[in-house]
Amino acid sequence: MKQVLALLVILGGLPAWSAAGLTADEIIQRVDDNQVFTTQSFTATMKITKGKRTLTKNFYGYGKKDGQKSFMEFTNPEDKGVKYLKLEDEMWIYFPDADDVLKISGHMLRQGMMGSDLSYEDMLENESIEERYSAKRLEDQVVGGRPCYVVELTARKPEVTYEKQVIIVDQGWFLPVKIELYARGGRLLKNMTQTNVKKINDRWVPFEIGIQDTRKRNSLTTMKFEKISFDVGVPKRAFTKGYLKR
Amino acid sequence: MLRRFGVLLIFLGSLIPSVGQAGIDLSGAIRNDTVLLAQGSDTLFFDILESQLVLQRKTNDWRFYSDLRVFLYAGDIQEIGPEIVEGVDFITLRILRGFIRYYTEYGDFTLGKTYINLGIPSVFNPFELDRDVNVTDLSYTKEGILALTYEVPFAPLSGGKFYVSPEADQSEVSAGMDLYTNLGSFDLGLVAARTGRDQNLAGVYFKGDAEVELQGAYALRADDEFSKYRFEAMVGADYSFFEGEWLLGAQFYYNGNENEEAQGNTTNGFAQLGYASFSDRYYIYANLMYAPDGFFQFRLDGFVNLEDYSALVVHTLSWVLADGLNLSLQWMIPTGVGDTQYSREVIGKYVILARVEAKL
Repeated sequence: MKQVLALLVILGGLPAWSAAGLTADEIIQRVDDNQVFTTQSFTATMKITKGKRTLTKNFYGYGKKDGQKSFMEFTNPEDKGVKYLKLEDEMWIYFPDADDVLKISGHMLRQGMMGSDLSYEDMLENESIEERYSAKRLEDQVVGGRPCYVVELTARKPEVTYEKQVIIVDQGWFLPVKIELYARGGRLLKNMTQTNVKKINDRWVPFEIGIQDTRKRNSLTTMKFEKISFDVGVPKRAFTKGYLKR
Repeated sequence: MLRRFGVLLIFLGSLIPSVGQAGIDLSGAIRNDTVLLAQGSDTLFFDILESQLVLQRKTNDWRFYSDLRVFLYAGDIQEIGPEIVEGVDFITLRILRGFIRYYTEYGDFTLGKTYINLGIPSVFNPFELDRDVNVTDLSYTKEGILALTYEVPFAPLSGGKFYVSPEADQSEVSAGMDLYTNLGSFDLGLVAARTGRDQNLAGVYFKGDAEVELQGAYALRADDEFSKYRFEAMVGADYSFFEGEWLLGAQFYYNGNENEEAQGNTTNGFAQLGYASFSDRYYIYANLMYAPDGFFQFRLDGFVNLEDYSALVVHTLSWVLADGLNLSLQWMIPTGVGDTQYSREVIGKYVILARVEAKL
């Protein structure tokens, strides 16, 4: 009996031991691998909260090539018909009243999308974490009763939006459950959480994302995904400027 | 007036139940502008209630879209300006859009009352067919024209737009094209159009990033014999401060109307209920905006006529009270002397406008 127990301990402990032995780069590689997809579709609700006031926005969209291409359309009354097209690191917006498409550039990129804590620059992050950041492993933590790696990321390129990130990665899901985003000079700019994690086609996906811009008092943006599907068909020409007018 | 309003309500009331059954999507907005004009010791007041009704149907093959506006006026509006006095109609209906867009393998066709968007929208876009600007709301919907348009993609970010319209000066046909593409971080394009007899234009435009946002446009206007011509150009830049909370933008406009009489001093921004045009030779538009979050915004817009140095300064405070419900206050100050374009003598000492807008 003792021998069986010992074997179970060894077998049970083996994956944890081998995972615990991962380097920071290996952890980041696993996180990047978890985000790879060919096509994706989603419907979501975004709540923007400031103090006691809340704005609710509904949208749906498609993604392609790990999010390098994406299309989004808002369906709530306030923003009905507003559409976004993202192609690599550029974005365009369609205004239904004007029936016209505008490039989002320069000064608009740092603004919160639809007044949220999520900026357009946040949405334009394309490359994998490994390409943008060098990683250093910090001491592990337990978050929500689950063991997590803690990795500090330092920007490899000056054009990266955040100079430093600290990501807390669930050891079983290889998904960041908490992210701290820092500006140059070490100032904490944003806190992100990824919760309500579900498994879709062998990958772990957060169905709820919280973003808090520390520069805005009492501000919080929460995105809840009602549906996420991978490797689905997307409309032909969905990722073209012309499609925005349809 | 009440009778007309009643007829309108009955019409709209009968329309709405059938809308859902036909798979038509119904949305809209209500906007109320309360305006207080202070002209010396005389204080004028008027109120405009604007109702927007949008009917839309989208399928995989085609799309129908219509935007109907109903305006109700109240107050001393006969004092405000000749446009309103002549068109005294306390209820006004306008169809800003009403089109069917049909998608094919080779491009999208649009037929009906539609907005012809040549170039990149801006205060001074030289390719804009409707040149008046609503200074109380720069993004206010421009009225479309009856036209047939065809938009064909060449690549995800390149394509061509073509239009032909019976709405043209001197009963001629208006037609034009806009070929657009993307180069690096810049959108750019080439426009050519004929908007009526002796009204031909061609030019180029761009918008993109080089640390700051840059945009520009250059157009040549000529008569049919090319004996009279003039240039128009605009260049602008935008920059943000404090992580995007503060935005500063400026645009310069040159209207080389050597062969035409300057049409300035005809604009009465408030008499035409907030619309301004830019028909003198040089203008600057500058904008400062503070938007700390999605619930509050302050902006300062200034329009300066560099020919007579008159200016119009518009301060706007906006609050989002709840989902779809906005309140804004505007304080518009004209400066200038005599009959200069934006002088106080022409358009009043100042105007305060309170706007409540609800989206449905």
